[in-house]
Amino acid sequence: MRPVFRTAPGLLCLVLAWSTQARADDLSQRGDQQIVIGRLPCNPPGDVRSHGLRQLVWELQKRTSVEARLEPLLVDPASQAIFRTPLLVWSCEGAAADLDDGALANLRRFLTMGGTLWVDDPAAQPDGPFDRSVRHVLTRIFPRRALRPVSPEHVLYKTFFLLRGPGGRRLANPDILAVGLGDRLAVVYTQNDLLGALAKDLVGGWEHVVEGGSHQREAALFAGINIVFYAVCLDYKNDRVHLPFILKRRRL
Amino acid sequence: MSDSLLVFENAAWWQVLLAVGVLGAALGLACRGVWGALSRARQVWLLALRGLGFAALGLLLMGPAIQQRQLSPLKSRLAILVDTSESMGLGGERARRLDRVLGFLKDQAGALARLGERFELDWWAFDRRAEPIAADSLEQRELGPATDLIRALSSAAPSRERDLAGVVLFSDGTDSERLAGMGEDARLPDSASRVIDELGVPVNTFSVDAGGHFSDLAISDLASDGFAFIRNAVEIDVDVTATGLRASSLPLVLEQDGRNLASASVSLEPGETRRVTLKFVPDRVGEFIYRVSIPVQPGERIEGNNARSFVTRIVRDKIRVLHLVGRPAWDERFLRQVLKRNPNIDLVSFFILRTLSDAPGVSQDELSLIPFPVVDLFGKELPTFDIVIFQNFNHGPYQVGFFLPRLRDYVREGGALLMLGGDLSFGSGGYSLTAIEEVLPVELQPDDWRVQEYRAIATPEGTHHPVLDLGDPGTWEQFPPLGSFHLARAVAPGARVLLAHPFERVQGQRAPVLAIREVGRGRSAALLTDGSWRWNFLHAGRGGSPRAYHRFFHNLLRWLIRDPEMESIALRSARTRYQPGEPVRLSVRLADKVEQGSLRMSLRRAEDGQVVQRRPVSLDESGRADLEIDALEPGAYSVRVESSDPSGGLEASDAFVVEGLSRELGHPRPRPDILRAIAEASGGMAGAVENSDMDGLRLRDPERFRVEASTTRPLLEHIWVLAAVISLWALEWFLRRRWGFA
Repeated sequence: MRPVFRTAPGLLCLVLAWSTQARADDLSQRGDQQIVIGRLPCNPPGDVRSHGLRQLVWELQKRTSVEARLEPLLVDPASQAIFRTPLLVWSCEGAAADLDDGALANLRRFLTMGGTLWVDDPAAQPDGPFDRSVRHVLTRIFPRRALRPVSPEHVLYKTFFLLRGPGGRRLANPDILAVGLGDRLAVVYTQNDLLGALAKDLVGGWEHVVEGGSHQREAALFAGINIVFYAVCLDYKNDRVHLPFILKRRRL
Repeated sequence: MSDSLLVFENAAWWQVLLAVGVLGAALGLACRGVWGALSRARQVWLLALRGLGFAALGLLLMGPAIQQRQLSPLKSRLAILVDTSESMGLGGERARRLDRVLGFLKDQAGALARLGERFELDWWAFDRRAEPIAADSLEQRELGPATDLIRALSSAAPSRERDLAGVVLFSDGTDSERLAGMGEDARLPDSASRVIDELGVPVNTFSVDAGGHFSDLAISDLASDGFAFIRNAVEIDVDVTATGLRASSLPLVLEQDGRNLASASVSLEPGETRRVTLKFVPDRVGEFIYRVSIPVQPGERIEGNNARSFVTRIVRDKIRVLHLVGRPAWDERFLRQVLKRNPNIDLVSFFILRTLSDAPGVSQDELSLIPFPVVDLFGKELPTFDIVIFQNFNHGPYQVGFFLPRLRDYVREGGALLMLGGDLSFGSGGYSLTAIEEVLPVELQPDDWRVQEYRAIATPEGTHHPVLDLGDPGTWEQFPPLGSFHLARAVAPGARVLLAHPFERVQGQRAPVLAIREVGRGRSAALLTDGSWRWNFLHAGRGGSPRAYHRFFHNLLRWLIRDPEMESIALRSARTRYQPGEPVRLSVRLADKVEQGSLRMSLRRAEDGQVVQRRPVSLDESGRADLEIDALEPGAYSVRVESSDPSGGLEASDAFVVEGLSRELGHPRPRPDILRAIAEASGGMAGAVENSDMDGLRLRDPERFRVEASTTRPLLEHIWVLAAVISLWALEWFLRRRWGFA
């Protein structure tokens, strides 16, 4: 493990971490204006990619007007608590725990009523244990709906940043996958370990090497922010008023 | 006079057939017996005698008889139709047209007497309808509002009537129905020609006032749809007719409440009708009285037809909503979903995705962000919105503060404002002591934002208000708690609190959570929390339906735009246009459970704003009342029902027009050409009461008789008939024996 307080930069990071926590306390006075992201549990329980999620929220606050709680809320998929966090993140090492019927029904209702589930594969391994288990769960939730690639023309690619790809720690799939419900994406599935690309340790160093370098890491950040924005703003960027601007910038 | 007829008393068709069959068969048998056995001449003789014998026998079987009748001559009917429509009351300096017709009939008393000797004179008066009348009652008959010449002819002279000798028609020829559009080429429409053909008798016409000078400028017709969509161009087609005068560059003006909406310059030659289309764009929803007018010219016979009022209901095709969001969060996300899913809403949204203190870390070209068009939105575009929603939107960083007075005026002039809570809203958003506070339902204090969980409760007024009607009255208790609220300084005067905080107090009352207010002609609402999304998603998580949340916001938006269905009280006139003298019928309906206090109705004349009638309104047990107003002077009226308690907020209004002039007087010019065309088409004569007489009428005069008495005597009673038949048979028998047949 890396020594944290060995150098001056380490101390600086400690101060920054303290100040960030202070801001989080301040945000608690914002009530529902502060978005709280829910995290589904893993089996065995673990804090997988929590640093990546925390970094994403930190970047979200720094770069956008959205206010969010730094610490995600661990929620039980079988409880009503998931309805307090309309955006859920699910990222587990190894196979995700199979859910009982009650949890599946609750999750189905969550998604049908407007919630969004973001699944990120920390192994970045299609057809790996996590991928297989997630697909199994999703098939049980929506037996007639399959995961499909999201078109680059979809609003998900322009909710805040103009994305060219999902980025991530390892480019296992150039597409973002999703399960659609009507005109909305209820499940967004990134297979490139987006959160892994964003994870930092306590002294501010990147926890994982990203194969494609800083551009790929940045793309992962942008994709993560866009997914949060999609959960909060839906198809806002498809409104007529935005189209001329976006088309012009796409051509640049 | 008498005559005789041969009749057959037993001549039923089957008897005749039977007799012909039997006799034919017998004759056939007879032919076979004699054919080839005699010379041709003898064969012919024998067969002729036998045929005559059989024929005579058959005739006798049919019961021939001689009928002798006593006859007396019968008079045919002559229908005399006199036009008693409103245009016949015109005269100006001369006698009324109808009086001139009556004078002519008096002068023609001799001719009428002679006609009376030949025909039954059948008098009819007609306007839009025709009805029989005694000749001496014509003068007292009330003039009707329209003329239908063809219908009058059909009524008085049914088609192909055998005893009708003809029709005499007195009129000025001004037809406001089927012949109203007839041009100067005197060509009758096909349908009219058909009716005249079917009469089968000559129609003799006498025009009146044909040669006199008639000067008039009239709005002869006006076509409006009765309803129109807000912010969409409305076209009103106006027909202007000049008679006996020339109009040069006269202004045709469309007004509402004295405000000029559209105008056009009109030039007309005498006898010309021109259609002018006036366009305007309504900017408010409701029932409005409009007036089209053209200046009265010197010497005009009728001044009242130079202006015409009409009522048009302006409705929405879509509710145009401006949704401004200071920061994306769940409350904003779920409200946007409500707005987007409603097909009746045209949504324009702006979410502030990045503030000045945020650093995206990339160039603008890599962002999907667009500039916030403050000047456009709050400048020229603002009046185009039905509702403006500020959701956790702080005006400070975006220079919106400069436009807040304009937004206040927009609300007062009929717009709607909904403000929803958040740490950037109400007092915490810097709206305290701004122009916008003047139109909000609550008075603000700085830093009013509170984060705490509580369950909003419906106030007694809210319980009965349509905004909180979610179908199931228990829904409000089932909703999950909210997580925030703004502590207002006070409730604004005239505002109503529908939802309140359970324990926080403002001026001794429960602190408002949802308040609504009527402001001038507009409305505003304040939902002082950012937690309404919980009524959707959290409620759904507890097994509830998100429909209640959707319905709440739909109710609120519909109330804000004054959707009639959301009004506690409704007032409707049965029609928007009433004929002169016709009673005006109004109905009042009160929503269930509303305490109305006492209601009163006031009727105001639109032209001068004067109240012409005021009366209390008594509702029945079902909350309804029907009112009838008689004898209103012509003009446009606005009617209003309101509660005697000014804080009750119960009021409804409507508008209608009582016509000053009938449609007939839009086309008052005499039309002798129409009468001439009718006469020519039917083979009658066309004259004028001023220079013709009734001696030259063209009539059909068939000889018709009535049978006074008749006697019938069978032929068998005459012995010579029987002797002749027997002789025929005897001669046939004699010759047969003579020529060798036994």
